[in-house]
Amino acid sequence: MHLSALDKFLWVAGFIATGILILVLFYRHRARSFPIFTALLALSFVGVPVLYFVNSHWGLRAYYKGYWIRASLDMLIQLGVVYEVASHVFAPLGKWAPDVRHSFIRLVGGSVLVALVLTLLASPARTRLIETVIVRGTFFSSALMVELFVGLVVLSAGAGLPWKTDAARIAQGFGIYSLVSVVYDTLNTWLGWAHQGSTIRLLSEIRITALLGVLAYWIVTLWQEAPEPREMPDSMRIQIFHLQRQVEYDLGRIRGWRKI
Amino acid sequence: MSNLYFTIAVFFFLAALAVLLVRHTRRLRSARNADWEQLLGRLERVDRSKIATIAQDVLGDGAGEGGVEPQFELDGETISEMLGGLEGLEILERNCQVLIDLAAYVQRWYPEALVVAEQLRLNARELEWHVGRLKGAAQTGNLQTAFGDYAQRAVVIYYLMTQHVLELYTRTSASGTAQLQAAL
Repeated sequence: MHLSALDKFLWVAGFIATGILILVLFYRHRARSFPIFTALLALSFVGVPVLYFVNSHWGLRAYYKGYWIRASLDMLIQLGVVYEVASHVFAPLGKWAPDVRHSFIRLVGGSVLVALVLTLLASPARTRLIETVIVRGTFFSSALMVELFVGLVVLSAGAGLPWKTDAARIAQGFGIYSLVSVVYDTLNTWLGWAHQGSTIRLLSEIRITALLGVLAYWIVTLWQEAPEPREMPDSMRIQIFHLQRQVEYDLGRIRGWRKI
Repeated sequence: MSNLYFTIAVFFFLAALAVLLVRHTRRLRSARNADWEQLLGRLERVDRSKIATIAQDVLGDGAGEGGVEPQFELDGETISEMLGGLEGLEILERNCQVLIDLAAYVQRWYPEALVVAEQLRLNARELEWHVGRLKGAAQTGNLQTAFGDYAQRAVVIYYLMTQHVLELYTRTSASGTAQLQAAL
């Protein structure tokens, strides 16, 4: 597979940006709060040189195998990132809020179904089975991710749950990249390598450029420190705790009336 | 031809997601970025004395001996008149969102206030549930019979939420407590 100078530049830039982002996550202690997101970036960071090495030394067949292993792992970890972001939003006190648990499960089920139906509608203009599977697979993954991230926003707004800044930044980046990927994969189904190889390459470069933009956005926003909260005096903390108990007790009392 | 259907389907899919995203992001953003004046400005006017009367009918005034005891006297029709029907309850529902945002406002300085904000949010969901039941009853023509059952509980939740938000502001010595008291 011949790589142009621009392809090589984008590859190296993506590799460096991912490395910088991983450093930012560790330096700002965000890797501890978002371990799955950090793992996804680590996979990407290691995956790029490994695939480059495989392609250079063992050729295209080995590259495809490696690509598939990486893409499958990537998809699974991306789903993990959705769960991680959702946990930050829907489990503000460490455990999932009771009113959103079922809605989240329904969201995941519905999103998989819609992504699957859309994927089955596509007929990629490819001659080789492996290419068809790759186009369908990447489309399914992108459509699912964009659905899930929009779904998280809808669910949280409906339940009145605010987003923590870091979780919002990660979700925004993912949402934008997934959206660009859906558009790319949709256009890609129309194109065949035999006659439109250069167009496919151009679209691919646009997608990687979008990814670089998202990586830059994450580097900048996740580097920024959140405003320092005020120190709550112990007496106030105790009063807040009692108030929370009182609010909880009152709700139980009102629910109790229903049974009478 | 199949890809044409596919592209049209993706177009509608993305358009639907965009509409959902814009609508709900607006709500999240208004809650996160609103300043104090904007938050208070979102509170809709309600007759506090009537809210208190309906709530105290089942709660008493909480003053203990010598205070008003729970009476359980108000029926659905009276409550409906006092509240202004389902529309009145919908105002309480919208005000509940503001109460949650007011609790979240304190969290900007004291993240520990999250425990109260989260509990208040669950209370608001309960109120939404009661109002939802009444909306369902209105569609089936059973609003009057259902009103007494659900509306009073919704009002009690709202009344207690206002008390708790005020208490949260007082406990954390947050600025604007007096303004809030006047608005609620």
